[in-house]
Amino acid sequence: MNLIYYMIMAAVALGLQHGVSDLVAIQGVTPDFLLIAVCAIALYAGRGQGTIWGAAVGFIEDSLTGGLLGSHAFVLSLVAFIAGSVMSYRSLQSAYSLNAGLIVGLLALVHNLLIYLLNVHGAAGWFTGLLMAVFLPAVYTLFWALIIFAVVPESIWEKIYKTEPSPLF
Amino acid sequence: MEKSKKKNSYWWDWLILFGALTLSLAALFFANEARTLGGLHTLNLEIVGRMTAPIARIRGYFGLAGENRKLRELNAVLQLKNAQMAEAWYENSRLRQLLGFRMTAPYDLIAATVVGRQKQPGMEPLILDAGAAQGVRANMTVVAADGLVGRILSVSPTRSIVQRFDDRAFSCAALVQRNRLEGMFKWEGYNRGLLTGIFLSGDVRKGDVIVTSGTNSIYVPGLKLGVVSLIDDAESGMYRRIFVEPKVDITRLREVYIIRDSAGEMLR
Repeated sequence: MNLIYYMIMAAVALGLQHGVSDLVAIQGVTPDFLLIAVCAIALYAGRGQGTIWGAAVGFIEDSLTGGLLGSHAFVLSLVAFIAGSVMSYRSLQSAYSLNAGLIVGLLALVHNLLIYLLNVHGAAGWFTGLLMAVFLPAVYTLFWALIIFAVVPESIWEKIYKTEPSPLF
Repeated sequence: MEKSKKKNSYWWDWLILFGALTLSLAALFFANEARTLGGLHTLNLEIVGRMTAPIARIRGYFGLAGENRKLRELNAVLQLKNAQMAEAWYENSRLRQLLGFRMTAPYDLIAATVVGRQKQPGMEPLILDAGAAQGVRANMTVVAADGLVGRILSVSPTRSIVQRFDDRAFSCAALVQRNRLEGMFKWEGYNRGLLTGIFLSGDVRKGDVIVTSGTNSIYVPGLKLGVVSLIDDAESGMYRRIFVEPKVDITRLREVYIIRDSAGEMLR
């Protein structure tokens, strides 16, 4: 059953990323809905399943962008693994949505930096490039992650933190 | 028992990460050289294209009144221009016949709607709702009312991906419309292109219109790329650094046209 939920989450994120993200763009900076969805799956399902979903969504994204095949798959699976691992720490298990949002924000920074390095284009200068392609999108993704996670009911957060992760296979 | 289960899960997680990273790296190193639109790629494009099409339709309804008013104004201006150009066209065709030039056939256009777009550093392709079934093929030129949009990168049965002119890998032969000085246009980043290959002695002025020259045989000639916004000769060596501001507002683009019999076809 969870598989269907994750598929719906990934599909909605792809739809938002490709159909709506430019509507909410500020000076060309857009949030990364795919990253938020992959992190949310990793938080809920654990790092193992999160990594699989990160790789799958990443490959779909790579095939749609016409860029380097494997770059998003590499970065998203790594980010999902970190997200799933970090959230298992007991110290983070309060102020659920805020913690989750901040983790997504930090991972967005890592994600954007890796994607930028893999697809480097230095014509506009490294500072402008880092600002426009790495830092500002990460901040904007953090903003959206906080909004999205704020509407997740408390009961779901409690379920995420208080149940032991189920075995993968 | 419980402890052993947890330990297994721990190792599985690391194994999955190792597998995912290995697969991604293998794709990065080996699948990018001869990248073709395989079955998976086509399927992805079809599915995401269908998902984003209703969103694009809904978005199209917003701002229709304002767009309609602008189009009416533009229509009036264009009608006046059209009258002048018709005169010029008749004169031109008469002169061509006199000179024995081959008449250029008008372009056959395929209308398409932008149903998706992607924003990431250096690569910002568009997804169109027209594909192989509508006659779209790779390398065809994509245009909008204000000029060149890009070229078709890959095609599925009913969808296609466009490499935009502001892609980091984009470049094309271009010329200054006023005096036919030829150079190479490429994207500089952050809302401006760069025209290179024109010597310091070349007569280029701010406000000059830059169009495709057609000499690299992908893009048809005469498509507007933008207007010269800045010329920086201070650190440019032998050539002028001419910055070009595009006139196509790519962020608001909804309808585009694919030139069916564009020069790119000759490459295949």
